[in-house]
Amino acid sequence: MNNKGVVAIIELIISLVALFVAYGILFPGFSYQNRWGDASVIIKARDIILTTDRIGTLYNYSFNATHLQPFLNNVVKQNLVSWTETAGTFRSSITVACNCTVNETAFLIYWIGKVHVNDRDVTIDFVPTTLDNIYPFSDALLIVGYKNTNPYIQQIRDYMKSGNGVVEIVDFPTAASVDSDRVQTEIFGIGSQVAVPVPTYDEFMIPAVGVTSDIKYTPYKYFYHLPVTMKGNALTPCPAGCGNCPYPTILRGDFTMRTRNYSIWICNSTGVLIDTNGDGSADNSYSAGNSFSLVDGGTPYNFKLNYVESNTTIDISFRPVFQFTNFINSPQNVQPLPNPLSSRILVRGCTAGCSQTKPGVILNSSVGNVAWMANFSSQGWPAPAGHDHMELIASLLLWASNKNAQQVSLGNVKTGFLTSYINAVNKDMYEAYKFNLGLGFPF
Amino acid sequence: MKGQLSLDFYISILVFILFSMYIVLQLVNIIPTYSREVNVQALRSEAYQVSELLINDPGKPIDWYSGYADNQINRIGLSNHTIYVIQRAPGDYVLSNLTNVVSFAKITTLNSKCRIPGGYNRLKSWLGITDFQFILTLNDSSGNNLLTCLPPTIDARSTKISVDRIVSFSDNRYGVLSLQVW
Repeated sequence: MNNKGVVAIIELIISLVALFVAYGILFPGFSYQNRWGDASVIIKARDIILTTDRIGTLYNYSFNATHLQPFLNNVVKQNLVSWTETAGTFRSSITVACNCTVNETAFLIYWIGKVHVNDRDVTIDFVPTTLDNIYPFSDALLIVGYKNTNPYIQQIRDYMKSGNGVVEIVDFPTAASVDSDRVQTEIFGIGSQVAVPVPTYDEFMIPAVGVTSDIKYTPYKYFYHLPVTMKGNALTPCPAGCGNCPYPTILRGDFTMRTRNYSIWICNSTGVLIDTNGDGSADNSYSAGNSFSLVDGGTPYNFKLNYVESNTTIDISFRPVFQFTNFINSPQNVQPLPNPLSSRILVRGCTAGCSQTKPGVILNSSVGNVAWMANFSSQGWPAPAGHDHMELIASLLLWASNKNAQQVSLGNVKTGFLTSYINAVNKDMYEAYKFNLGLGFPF
Repeated sequence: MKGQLSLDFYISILVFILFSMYIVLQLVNIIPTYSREVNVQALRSEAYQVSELLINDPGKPIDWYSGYADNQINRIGLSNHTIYVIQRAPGDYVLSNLTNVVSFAKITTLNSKCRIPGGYNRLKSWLGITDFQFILTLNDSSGNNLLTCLPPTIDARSTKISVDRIVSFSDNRYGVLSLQVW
C-alpha cells in the first residue's frame, strides 16, 4: 500500500479547518453598535430634572414619586421604568424606634408626629423597640430614661452602620453609670462631670458663623427654623380682642414654652389670635408668614407663624434668641469627652453670667449622629414638656435620622441610568439635598 | 514531470482565491452599512447640538425677536434671556445659566418667520445648518402646538433622526420640543 496521498489530504483538511477558525476570529459577523438609546435616556432624565426645577415642582416630586408619575407620562413617550431617590436630608417619613412606654409614645406622636416644613409634610412615627433587638426598619433610635446600655453596644453599633442615628433623653444616677458604660463613653462620647451649681437657664451654644461643618450647625438650624405643629383642641367663645374674626366660637390651643401656656385662637386660614403676654386675652391677629413675640418675665421671645394649615392646625417656628427655663436636673452631671470645653455641646445650662456651665445636650458624630439630652422632666416624663422641649427633640431626631438614599427594588429593569442633581429650597429652612432620577429599559 | 504543477498547488490556489473573494464580498457588504451608520451617528450628533442651541442659547442678538431685520440676526435660540439675568452688585448684571427655559415671544417669532416664503432656508442659515433638513415642533403639556417649522418638501424615504427635549416656559408650564433631521 502506498499511503503518500493520505497524508496530504489530512494536511489539507487541517489547513482548511485552521483557515475557517482564523477567519471566524478575525472577521466576526458585522454589527454596528451604538449607545444612542442610552444617551437619549440620559439626556431625557437631565431634561426632566431641569424642567421640573424650572417650573418649581422638583422639591415636591423629590419627596412624592406619585406626583412625578403623571409628569413623566406626559413627557416620556418611550416605555421606560422610572424611580427616584433622595439623600442628604431627612426623609418625608421617618420611623423612630423608641424604648418608650405606650404613654410616652402617644405624647411624642401627638406633639411631633408630623411637622410641616418647606411645604412638605414630614411624619415621624414612633415604634416600640428593645435595645437587644432594635427595630431594623427605622431611621433613628430614641432611648428614654436611664438604662445600662453597656450590654447593647454591639447592637447599637450594628444599627448605626447603615446611617441610623441615636438620641437619648437620659439622666444618670451616678458617675459610674456613665463612666463604666461603653455606649456612653465610646458612642455618645460623654463622661461624668464634677458637680456644678444648678443652672438658672439653658441656652444654645451658637455654631461658628459660616462653618457648616460645625457639628452644632444642623440641629441649631433645625431648632430655629423647623415649624412645630400646634393644634386647637377646645372650642371657646371668641376672646377679648377678637377683632375682625367673624365667628362667635373658635378653636383655642395652648402654645407652651418656658413652662408657660400662651393661648392661641385659630379664627380662619388668615387670622390667628395670639395671647402674647399670657394674660388670657388675644393681643393681636396674625396670618401665615407673620412674626410675633411671646413675653415671659419681661423678656420677649421671637417666633414666626409659618403656616395656618386649617382652622385646627397651625405651625410655629422658634426664632433666635431663645432660652429654656432650666431643664438640666440630673443628679449626675455629664460632660463631653475628652475635652470639657468641647464644641460638641449644643445646649448648656448657665448660672448668672454663665461662668459655670452644665451641658444639657451633647452631640457626637464619631460613629454616626448621636445626641445625649438631659431628661427635661422633673415630674415624670413627659411632663412638663412644652413646645420648646419638643422642638428640641424633633430637631435632634431629624438631625440623627438616616439621610442615605433608600434602596429601590428594580426587579424589572434590564438597563438603567441614574442622573443626580443637587437641589436646594429655602422657604422655612435652607435645605440642600441630592435628587437621583433613574430611567431604565424594562426589557 | 518538470513543468507540471502538483494537485496540492491547484488546491491551494483554489482555497486562496475562494477566501480572497469571500473577504472582498464581506467588505463590499460592510462598507455601505458602516458608512450609513456613520452618517446617522453624525446626524444624531448634529440634531442634539441643534436642539441644545435652540433651548439653551438666547440667540445673537439675544432679543432677536424684537423688531430686528433678518440680515441683522446672526443666530437664533429660544432660551428665555429675560428671566435669567442676575444682579451681582448694583448695576452689575450677568446672565445666569438657567437652562431649559424657553421664551414664548421667541417661539412665536420663530414660528412666523418660518412660515413666510424662504423662511425655512433663512432659519437653516441662522442655525448654521448646511447639509441636512429638519422638522421642528414644540407642543405644550396640554398638547397645544406652539411651533411647527418644516421644509417645503419632505423626502418620505429618508431615515429620520428624532430628538425630543423637555422644556419649561416662563409661566411654569412645560412642553416638548421635537426635532427631526435627515
